[in-house]
Amino acid sequence: MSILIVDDSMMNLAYFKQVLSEAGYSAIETASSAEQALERLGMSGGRVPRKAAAFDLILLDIVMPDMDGIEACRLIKECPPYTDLPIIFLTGDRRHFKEAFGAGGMDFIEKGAPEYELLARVQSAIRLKKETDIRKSREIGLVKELQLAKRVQKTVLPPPMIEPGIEIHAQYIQSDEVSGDMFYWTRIDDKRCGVMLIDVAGHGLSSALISMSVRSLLDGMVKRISDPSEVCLELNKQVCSLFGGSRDSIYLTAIYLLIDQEAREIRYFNAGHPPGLFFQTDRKAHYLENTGVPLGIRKTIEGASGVFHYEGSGKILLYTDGLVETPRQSIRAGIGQLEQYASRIRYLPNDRFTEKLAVLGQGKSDDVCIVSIQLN
Amino acid sequence: MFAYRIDQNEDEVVVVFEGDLDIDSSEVLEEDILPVVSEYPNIRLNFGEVYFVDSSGIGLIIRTVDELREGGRSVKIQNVRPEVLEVFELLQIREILGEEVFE
Repeated sequence: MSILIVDDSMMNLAYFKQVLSEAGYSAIETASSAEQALERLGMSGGRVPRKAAAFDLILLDIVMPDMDGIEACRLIKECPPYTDLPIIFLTGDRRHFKEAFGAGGMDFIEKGAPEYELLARVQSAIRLKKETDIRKSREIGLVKELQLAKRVQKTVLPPPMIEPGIEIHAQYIQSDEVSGDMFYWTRIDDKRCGVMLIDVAGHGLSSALISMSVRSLLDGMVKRISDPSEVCLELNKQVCSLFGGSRDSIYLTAIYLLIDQEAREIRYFNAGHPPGLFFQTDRKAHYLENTGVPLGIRKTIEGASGVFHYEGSGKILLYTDGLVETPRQSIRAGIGQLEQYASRIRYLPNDRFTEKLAVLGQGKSDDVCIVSIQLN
Repeated sequence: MFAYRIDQNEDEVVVVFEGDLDIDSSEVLEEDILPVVSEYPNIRLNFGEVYFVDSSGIGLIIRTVDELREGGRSVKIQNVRPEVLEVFELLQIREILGEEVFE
């Protein structure tokens, strides 16, 4: 607990130091001018120190030759490492108060006030500083953890797939530091690819944990059973058994496509997810609507799936609801607007196409994922 | 913002929700509303003043209806606004809870 006392009167310095020492405060430093105080804080010549000097409180006289206490207070409070450092003014004149508080002083001690008053004010200022320090360091720790978690989460996302008959690109826009949206694709064999987009209900850390644990199941599952109906049933079973015991309703929406490039056939399931949009040359968009309920809600589901064929080239656009949902407005209208815009730019190269669409997702309150599959 | 009003008569209780149903509504629903309504055999949830339900809100509705029905209560959902109905349809609440819940 370190206190800096700043006063141009040696007598005052000695008095305050003595009272505080007797009360058990051991680390007390003194400065006889504002300039000397700034020097102790590493701020002389307008410098901003990289690290704050270890003071928990400054007792600052107001009337001093050269720089006065109010100006010094203003400078200290404006200096980023010291914004939380409490400053108590030492004054004999109430006329200074308005300016003193305006400069960022947290309290004042009238010269000549009884000792108990001085000690009580010092004690509460130091307590506040300690609490602020603890909170700040927790916050900093939390932010670092979240940023790390975000990087970890991004590492499980697949890189773009660029092959002669097929290209897959995605955009991932997180509202919080981490999110429950996740996409996944893999080549299953020479002719087939699996592509999945999931959105865990809710936001933030808990959703991210769930989506990561689901992600860890996908590789094995998709390569072993691949057929959408069965993937749907299996995924539902896994989510129910992993999280079924929770008191919170944990569920996710998902859309999964099994693309057979040889048969030019796509089988899919859509479990409560906004419809995928399939743009074929010169045709109206085909909606890949729901085939079943979201996963993790009911132990028994039907596991229905859809199928369609494609000729020539086309794009399939998958996205999470964050891209089309505006609170208190029609989500179907949002999907319609997305369809119109995507249709207009559908001939762009696949990566540019997703980048353009990502602009729509900026500034939304929800997480947004966009996946585009270019079929040639 | 989320608020509610409870109208009770002999064997039926009507909860009128007002505002957005999302993660912030769960405490109110579970701690204030459920204990009151679960005393009644017939419960109506009136969504006439609900303008937005997010994914957490959907989970909340499903859990609430499930719990009440497990306790032998009859639950009906009524007056769902068109924009909320679209979200219900996308997430297939009818299929999950059964047609009989909606009127």
